[in-house]
Amino acid sequence: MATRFMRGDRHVYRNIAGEHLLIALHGDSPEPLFALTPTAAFLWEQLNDWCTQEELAAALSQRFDVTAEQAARDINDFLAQLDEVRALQTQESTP
Amino acid sequence: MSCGVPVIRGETIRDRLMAKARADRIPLQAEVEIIATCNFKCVHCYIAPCAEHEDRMSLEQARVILRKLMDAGTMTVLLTGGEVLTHKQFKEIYLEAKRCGFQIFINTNAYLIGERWADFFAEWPPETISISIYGATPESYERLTGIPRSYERCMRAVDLLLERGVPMELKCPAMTITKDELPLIKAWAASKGLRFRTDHNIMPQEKGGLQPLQLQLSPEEVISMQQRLDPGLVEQRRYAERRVGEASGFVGDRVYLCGAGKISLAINVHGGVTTCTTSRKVVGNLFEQSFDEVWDALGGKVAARYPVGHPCATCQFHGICAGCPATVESLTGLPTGYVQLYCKITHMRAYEMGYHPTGVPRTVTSGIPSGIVTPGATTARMLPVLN
Repeated sequence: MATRFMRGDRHVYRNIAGEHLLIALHGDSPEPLFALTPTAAFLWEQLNDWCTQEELAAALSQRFDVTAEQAARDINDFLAQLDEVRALQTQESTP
Repeated sequence: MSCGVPVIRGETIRDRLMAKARADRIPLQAEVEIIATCNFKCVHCYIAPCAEHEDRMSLEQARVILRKLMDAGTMTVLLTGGEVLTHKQFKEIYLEAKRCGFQIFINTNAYLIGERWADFFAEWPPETISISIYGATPESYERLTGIPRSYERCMRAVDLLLERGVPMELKCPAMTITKDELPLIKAWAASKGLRFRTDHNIMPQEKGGLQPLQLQLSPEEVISMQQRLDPGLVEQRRYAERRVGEASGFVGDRVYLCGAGKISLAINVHGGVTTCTTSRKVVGNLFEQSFDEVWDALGGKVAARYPVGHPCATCQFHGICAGCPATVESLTGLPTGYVQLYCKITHMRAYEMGYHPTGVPRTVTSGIPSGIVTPGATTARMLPVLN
């Protein structure tokens, strides 16, 4: 079983004046606005479609100067944070 | 390197964006008038009494505007009117703006807010709903709005939104017919835990009607009202500290000291672009022109300088003036005009705060220099400063 991830539709991403912003649409969000790092913004774009943690890590290390180990750790943290603010959908699938 | 979704407080990120917007001239804030008509008949209104049924933005037109603002980097959108909730497609326009990722502010009289609208705003919250309050009692409130039960419905709307935690603020225009009740309204707002603000500048109607000006407070009345709302002018002092005198950077011949044309703009129901909703002089049209073209035109307008000899060009209190280029424009036809009413209010306030020895502006003792445009004779007769 592999877990796949995709961004939810409860937030909207915008790049305003060079700031990467995640804007909550609904009233039950812990904050109306979140700031993303440039790498997080890149991953948010990747999450436009269902993908696994490994696929995200591969995309990250291909795009940025980062080791596979570091990429895996960062992605784990990032997905946990997205999940916490209810910006992530998950799906279990058989390979 | 790390990823992460740091939870940054709205104010912090807004401050950062504001600094960048000021440096790069990004239109961070927009006021969008989606309807000019209203369900109230307020005696002081400068928009709705002149409005026709067709003075409203369609959903398709709103989409065009929102798309252009989004591409230009706008972050906050104020939906205003008229009364926005009387727009039959308000919900669609609002949700379109939400899904574009704008932070939305709403101006409303709240008359139409019942349980369904309150539930809707709880689910899809705006940044702030700004509700106009027109009196402390049903009698005074409805004398101003001309609509039976408008007081009761507005009070209920405030409670419904409060119960649901929808962000809200209250405001009331300061006029001859509201001034005595402002302290009561402010206290009532405070009892609900809500921010309250008031504005004492009354505008002539968009198509020239001067009736609202009869409600304008005189300078003495403005100061007396402000002393009652803010004893010792504590809040005013805090505001003035950084804006008075040569060192403040506000003294000089720049006409526009606000963010108009630098970080903000307003769009009327027909796509016409102005500095703000108070100004009714359009510099271009977003239904017909590109955003850059219109934004450039607005930039040209707000780059205006006062002519040599203009009293405002050397005034130490320019940064705390009771008027602004838009209110001056509405009374004289030009943002570079001169309105002695504002000058008198400003100097009296400066006197009360200990910044000026007499509270009397130079133009009263030495006269207004020739060549400076002032309110026309008819307008001037309506302003209490000359009565």
